[in-house]
Amino acid sequence: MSEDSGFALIELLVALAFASLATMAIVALTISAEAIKNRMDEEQNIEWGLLDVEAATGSLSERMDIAIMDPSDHGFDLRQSNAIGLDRFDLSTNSASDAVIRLGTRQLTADLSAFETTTIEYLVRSPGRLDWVVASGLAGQLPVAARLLLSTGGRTWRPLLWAAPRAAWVTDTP
Amino acid sequence: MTEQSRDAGFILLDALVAVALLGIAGTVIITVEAGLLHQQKVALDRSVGLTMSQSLMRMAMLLPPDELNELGQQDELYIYAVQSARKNQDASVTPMEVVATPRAGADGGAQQLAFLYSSSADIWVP
Repeated sequence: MSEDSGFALIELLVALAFASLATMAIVALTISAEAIKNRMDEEQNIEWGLLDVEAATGSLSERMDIAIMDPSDHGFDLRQSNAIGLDRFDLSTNSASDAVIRLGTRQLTADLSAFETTTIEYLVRSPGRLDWVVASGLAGQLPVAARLLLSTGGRTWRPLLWAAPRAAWVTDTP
Repeated sequence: MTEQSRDAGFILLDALVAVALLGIAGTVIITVEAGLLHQQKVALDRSVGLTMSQSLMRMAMLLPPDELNELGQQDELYIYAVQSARKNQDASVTPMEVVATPRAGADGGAQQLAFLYSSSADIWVP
């Protein structure tokens, strides 16, 4: 009788151990599956955002002039500068954090919600060097290229948004 | 009495084997998970490198040849170099490549993006 109850106790303990192990395993599996799914979603959002930018810049196939934009609360604001044709190129972000790229009557949007910060940098040429500056650092110089700075999670993507026609690169000798 | 204790010993052995099996299964799952996460990290790193390489490539198409090397740049993950891929008889079109080399401490191999550089026309005008 006493041996029977001892046997039952061992069985009970083993069953309990199994149950707790199984519970821990299920919890761990759920957590890791969640982590993997989150990472995959993040990666996919980032890839979609980059594809959006790619599609938008690719569609703007005409030569166009560039507007200088300063980051503002709601995206990027046009700034008065000596660039020609300011009204032809425009980039702003709307409430849904889509970047809106406009050229004349055509308008293209890119969903950049996957990125924590979005900035625009401009490439300026000075003799013997090329520098990337933000809009406030242009100091009246005409940029030869513009790129987006998209960063999230410690990584920064830098897709080219616009580049001047080759003539502007070659003849720009101060 | 003897039979019962033998039974108990047998159950204990069963339990030990089960625990060992669970442990092996857990290790395998954790290894697979770590592999997946690492793969995703590398994929994101690669997309950073490819985006930058593409930007450099497009600018290189617009720059005079002697200023191409000014585009040699780097970011947080890679060091980029614009260089000619190989010699070609046709002088008007040069095969070029952007090579993104991972910085020290970063994992993953170098990435290459090849393109044709033409000295005569605007190839990529956005």
